[in-house]
Amino acid sequence: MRTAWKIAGKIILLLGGGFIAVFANFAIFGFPFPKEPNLNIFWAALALLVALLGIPLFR
Amino acid sequence: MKGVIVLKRTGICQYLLIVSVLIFSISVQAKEYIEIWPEGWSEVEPLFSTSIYADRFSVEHDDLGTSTSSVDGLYFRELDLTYRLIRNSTIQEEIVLVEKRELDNPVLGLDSQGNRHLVWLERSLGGNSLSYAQISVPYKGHEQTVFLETKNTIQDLAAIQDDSVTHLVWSERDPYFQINYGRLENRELVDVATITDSTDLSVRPNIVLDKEGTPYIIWYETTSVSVQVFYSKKEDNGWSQPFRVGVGSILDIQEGGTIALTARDDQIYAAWAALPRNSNRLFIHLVEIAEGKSSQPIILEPGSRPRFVEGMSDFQLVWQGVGQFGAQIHHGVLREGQIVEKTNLTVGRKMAFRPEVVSQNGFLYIYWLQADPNRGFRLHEINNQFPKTITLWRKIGLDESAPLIHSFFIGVSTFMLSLVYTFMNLGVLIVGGLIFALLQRWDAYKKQPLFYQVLLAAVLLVVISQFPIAVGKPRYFGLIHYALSFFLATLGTYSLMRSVKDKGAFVYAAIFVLWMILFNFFSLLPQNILT
Repeated sequence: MRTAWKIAGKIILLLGGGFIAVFANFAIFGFPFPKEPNLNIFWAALALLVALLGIPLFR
Repeated sequence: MKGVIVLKRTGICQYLLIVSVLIFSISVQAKEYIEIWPEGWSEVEPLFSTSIYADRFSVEHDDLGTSTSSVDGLYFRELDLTYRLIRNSTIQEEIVLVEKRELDNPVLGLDSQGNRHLVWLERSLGGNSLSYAQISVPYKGHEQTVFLETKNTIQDLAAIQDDSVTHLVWSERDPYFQINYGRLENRELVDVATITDSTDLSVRPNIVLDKEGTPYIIWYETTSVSVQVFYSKKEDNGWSQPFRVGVGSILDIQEGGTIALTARDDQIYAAWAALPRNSNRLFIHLVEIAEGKSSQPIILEPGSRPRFVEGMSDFQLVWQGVGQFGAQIHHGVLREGQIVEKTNLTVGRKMAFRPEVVSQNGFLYIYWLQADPNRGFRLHEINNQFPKTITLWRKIGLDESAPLIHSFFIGVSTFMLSLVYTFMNLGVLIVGGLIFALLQRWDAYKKQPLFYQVLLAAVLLVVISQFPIAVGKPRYFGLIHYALSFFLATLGTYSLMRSVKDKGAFVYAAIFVLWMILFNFFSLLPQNILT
């Protein structure tokens, strides 16, 4: 039971901390407004995926 | 000792219950949504009520103040032509020039002496007429002069003031709708010319003068299959042969749109709304006209009713854009053929339309119409001379009157929404999970540390979610917010799963689901605030 409370507390802390981080981002860079999706994210993620898949093979 | 533990649990439950009741009892004060204010702009001031029947109202500004002309009233045959003088967002003078008539197209111009020149169209059973009046500041009375009377249908009057001379264009049916031009000097219409000679409908003309005072006219010509945009210039021996500069749209004409014109850097620019080939939405089209030739129209932004901002060093436009709750007023700067620094000036869940703009000493004053709860429309004003002070809470999207309560509700509702979006991404989770499981068959990947596994799961999900598998995903709010959400979700998943010793399939499934929930939670925050 104590473990369950600990995990629940951890999740709430995590969500709360992330919540604060996101709003801190709004305070620094201004409130974001919807934009057109950026295709470069896909290419960057794909490049990162290739790199991640490659690392264990060459280690 | 067991009894003590039971009491302690009950104490915690009571405490949570009391806190929840307190929070929810205060919660009614927090707004359901927050109005995100455009930074650097003032409060939106409602000025006066006007009718829904005129396609436009007219606004001009000089050192004596801002003057407007509008047709006001609730019945289209009993409208009042009203002139107003506004200073510091307050109406100083309000004069009804014509009462209870069928009126349209009130156009206001200013001369160098501060006189206001008004022209308008009046319809009656006996015929149609164009009238003129001159008003000084302060108002000392006016005299109405009817300078054109005809049994023909007249519509779409537009005008531009050149000191004491008014250049006019209008569309007159004789027997087909043709574009006419005239010059009003000393209350007399002179130099009248019919520009077009076509069986097509020539409508919605507009006029501009270049720095030499040469008039340029642009209009829509409606054929049976399309709407064309034509242009003509006054030359020494009359008007030039009309030539086509672009394609318009019947949708824009139906909605009362006109073509905006401006003279800038020895060139004429025209902007109008039309449907691009691959869209069924109106987009702003822009052309540059010089030396009798026009450029290819550039398609700018979704919207209609463009207006050029006069008197500013950079090329600025105001237009009626499209937003989540309908028409919105947008302002943007045109640079290298595209709109940059675009700002939505409409605050809250209200539609706004038919913008007009004037510049005053380097500042912008923008006017638009919004529905009036008491019937008709209400004219509103916003400016960037006296910007509204925005508190930090409002800047980050929270209700400044109850920020903590609003944060709590945003947090809870976004968490619930993130569960829904995670369910909608079940396909992505399954595909990602299958690929991940396949990779785990190799020892090279299976033996990697937990952080690698979490990062690999995260990147897999990002890549797969770009394919049309998910039923829905959070809107994109810029690279910084996206990257932050990714980082927080990855770090959060790792920190939660760190204490788990077992590394079986169930644990990896939990990583996928947990990451998706966290990512959706952080990316949905601004979307939840705006809706």
